[in-house]
Amino acid sequence: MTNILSVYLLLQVYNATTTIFCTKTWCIFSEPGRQHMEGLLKHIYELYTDYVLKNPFYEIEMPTQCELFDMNLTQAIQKDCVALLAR
Amino acid sequence: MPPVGPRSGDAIFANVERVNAELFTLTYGAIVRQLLTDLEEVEEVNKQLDQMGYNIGIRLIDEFLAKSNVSRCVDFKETAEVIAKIGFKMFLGVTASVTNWDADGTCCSIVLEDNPLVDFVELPDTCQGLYYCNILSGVVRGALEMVSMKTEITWIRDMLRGDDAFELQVKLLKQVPEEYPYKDDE
Repeated sequence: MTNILSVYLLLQVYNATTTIFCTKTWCIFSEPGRQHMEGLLKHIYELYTDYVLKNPFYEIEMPTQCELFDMNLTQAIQKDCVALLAR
Repeated sequence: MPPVGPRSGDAIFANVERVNAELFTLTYGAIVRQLLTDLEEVEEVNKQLDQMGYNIGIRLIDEFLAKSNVSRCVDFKETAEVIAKIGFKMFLGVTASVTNWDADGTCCSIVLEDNPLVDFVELPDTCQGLYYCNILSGVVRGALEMVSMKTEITWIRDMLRGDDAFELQVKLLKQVPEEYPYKDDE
């Protein structure tokens, strides 16, 4: 847990820890069992603020159907997988 | 990776991508001129600028939260300081100051000595009553609403009307608790 406005929570779910990153306006959580997710979750939040919120045609609270967001999200996750293997 | 601490407005501003400031000023001026042509009434233009600002503010708040890593503000005083010192610096490159607190701590003024929106602008006589920078009041109102604060924002001083600075009065009306889109027990 940190003191910042965006909160990382580590929650015990069925004996495996899931990481949750949330701000006052948004929330994301990882699948249980994955570790060291904080950086990736924060990065995904930044991708959301860029590709979703800055898209003038995206309506707030509608499901995100932004191609650029999906593309960058996949890339970020792939990069994280590669980094994980390297650890 | 451990979470990073809060960043100063200067540090964030130094790291953002740049655009020509005059392009920004000209674009905003073109918007205001077009609104005046389309709507004709100065009051309507003020309202529309505020609405545009509101639509920007509700999106901008997440950008702010993502980039600034500020800690949760304990009271409205801290919120106002954060808006003035980090928010305005990050997005407009200007540092604002907070003054004129009321006894409750729910109303204050944010003062801007400098404002890139109004470079080279002079208001003609036909536009008296226009709040040229009204988009800024909408931005602040929208951003605060997304973090559960309902506010009322008015211009106290406006350099385009002959005052010596821009002064925005920010009044906290209420803290709105989170509402859920579904009801329990249904």
